[in-house]
Amino acid sequence: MNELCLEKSYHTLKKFILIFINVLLLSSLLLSHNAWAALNLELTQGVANQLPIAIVPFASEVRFAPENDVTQVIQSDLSHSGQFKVTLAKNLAQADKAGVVYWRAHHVDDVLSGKITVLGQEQYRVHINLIQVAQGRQQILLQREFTVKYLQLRALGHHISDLIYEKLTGVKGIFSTRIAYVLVTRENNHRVYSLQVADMDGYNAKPLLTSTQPIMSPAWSHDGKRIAYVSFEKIMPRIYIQTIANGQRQCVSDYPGINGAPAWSPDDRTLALALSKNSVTPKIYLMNIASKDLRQVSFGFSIDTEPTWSADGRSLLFTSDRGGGPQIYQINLRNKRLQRITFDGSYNARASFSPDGKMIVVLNREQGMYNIAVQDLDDGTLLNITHSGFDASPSFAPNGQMVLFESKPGEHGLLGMASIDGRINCRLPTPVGDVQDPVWSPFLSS
Amino acid sequence: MLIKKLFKMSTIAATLLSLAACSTADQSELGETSASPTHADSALTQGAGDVGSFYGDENTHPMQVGNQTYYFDFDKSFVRDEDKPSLQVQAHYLISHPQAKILITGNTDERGSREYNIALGRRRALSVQQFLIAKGVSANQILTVSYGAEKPVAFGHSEADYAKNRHADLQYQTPVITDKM
Repeated sequence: MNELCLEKSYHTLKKFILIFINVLLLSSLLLSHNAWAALNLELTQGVANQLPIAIVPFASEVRFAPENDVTQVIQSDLSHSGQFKVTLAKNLAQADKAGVVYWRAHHVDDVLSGKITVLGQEQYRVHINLIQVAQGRQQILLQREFTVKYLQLRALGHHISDLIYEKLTGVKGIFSTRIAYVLVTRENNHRVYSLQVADMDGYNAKPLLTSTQPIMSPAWSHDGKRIAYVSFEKIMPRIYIQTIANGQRQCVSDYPGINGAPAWSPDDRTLALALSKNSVTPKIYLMNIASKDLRQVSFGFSIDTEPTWSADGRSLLFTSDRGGGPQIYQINLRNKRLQRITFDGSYNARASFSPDGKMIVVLNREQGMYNIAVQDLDDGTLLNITHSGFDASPSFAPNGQMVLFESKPGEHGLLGMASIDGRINCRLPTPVGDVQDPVWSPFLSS
Repeated sequence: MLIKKLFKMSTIAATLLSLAACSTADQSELGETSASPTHADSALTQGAGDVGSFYGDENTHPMQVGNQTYYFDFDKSFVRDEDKPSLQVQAHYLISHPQAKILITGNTDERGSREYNIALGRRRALSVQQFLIAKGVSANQILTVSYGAEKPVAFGHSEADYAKNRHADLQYQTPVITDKM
């Protein structure tokens, strides 16, 4: 959504002023360096190596509402990724004629243009053309044609963003993925918790469950079709699995005590979860989803919770206070060997693996500040990628480039996204209420 | 509302009980506290009525049978000394009323990981439960649940806000009844 990352900061302001000066210097053809994104993106550090891309608004006989304007969707996607310096060309006639020399003079490497033709019956044909001019000559990178209905235009914009992103960075784009989170609002002096599923830019939010009691820990199945979560609607916490498409759900765990922290195995057949049915503290169990059979995998008196799977399904990470404060441990499910993973800071929790398995993201506490950090599993170095001091619940984007998290710098919970090098930080404000416990979907096929 | 009736009744019950069982209780406290707690049936209003008494203020701590809130130190789950007389009142009532049932909810401040806080909140709820059981209350009368940081009553980032959110609530699931009326 266009409201993405509306957090202003001193840095943003400085950036904006710089951009404003740039705008004044630029020719009439290049209206701005996408002032929207500049206003909304909070860059915590200067981003070097942004890819300069110009977008020529797609030629069309009809005008579209902003949310269905393909050009705007692509512009917004690429800008919010933080990896592109997006320039929107306003003067179409001139842009059409503009050649390599013109774009190079404005330090543009790639140019996207397109055309939308009305086919009738709410059908549209969309042509796109991505040209690279970085080498001083025109080189066609991408030429595609799509036929879509009106209501698919926004999704098509995300799809085109994915194609461009992958073409120019070599990494799969995440603009067509979704997020799930818990929204907490107040109605008539009581709290309303709802589990929401939305596009990754916050659009198309839809509630899966609404309750007066807490909802926690949503977890996407790897096929992207189901979400497991914890609901307190029956006073005691229970774990449910809900099918996103039709809303049907099933209670899979209602043992006495804690039923928490569900995590899908890579093959979606097993749920790792935290139960306290036989103990004061929660312990890690594996549940066969079909048979509901349980197997306990962690033992002892410590708090063990927040299990998460390695990509090969052979090991779990979990949070445990067996060493005093909470730290991340890895258990090999075959030989039961246990290994402590985190050592920096007195508090590390809520871990998950990056898609390539080379790093983990954690909630880290250092000197009373709770921030999101990534740890390189090769050399063990920990890097804080957020700095508000009030962050939690991190999860990786399915391409491993960004981390989604919750942040509560003031009185309200917001969603934040940060790049894994910490250079890009942006925020999604909530319309009303608090947004918490976000989790990024896997890549969705459709 | 049922809960309000419950509180009126609980005031009477508390008077009787405190006379019988808790001779140290100051009568003036009862007058104050019977008016102050406005615990309704939702999490939002719990604890909001006794904000002034949250921080171990013995003089205003409710000493009557009825829904109660007990506060905890950061990262701790032991029952504070000043809460023990009040819990003792609850224990007496529960022992003499085996039909009475309570729900003890454990809560933490917002900081840290949500699921880890669920585990910490459970320790607080169990800590209150253990106290009551040690005083002779049947485990069958007690249900515990941890809400972790999911039901905050204060929303700021100050230590005072955090302290208000580190609590266990004792909630009667059955009306508090008086025996001889």
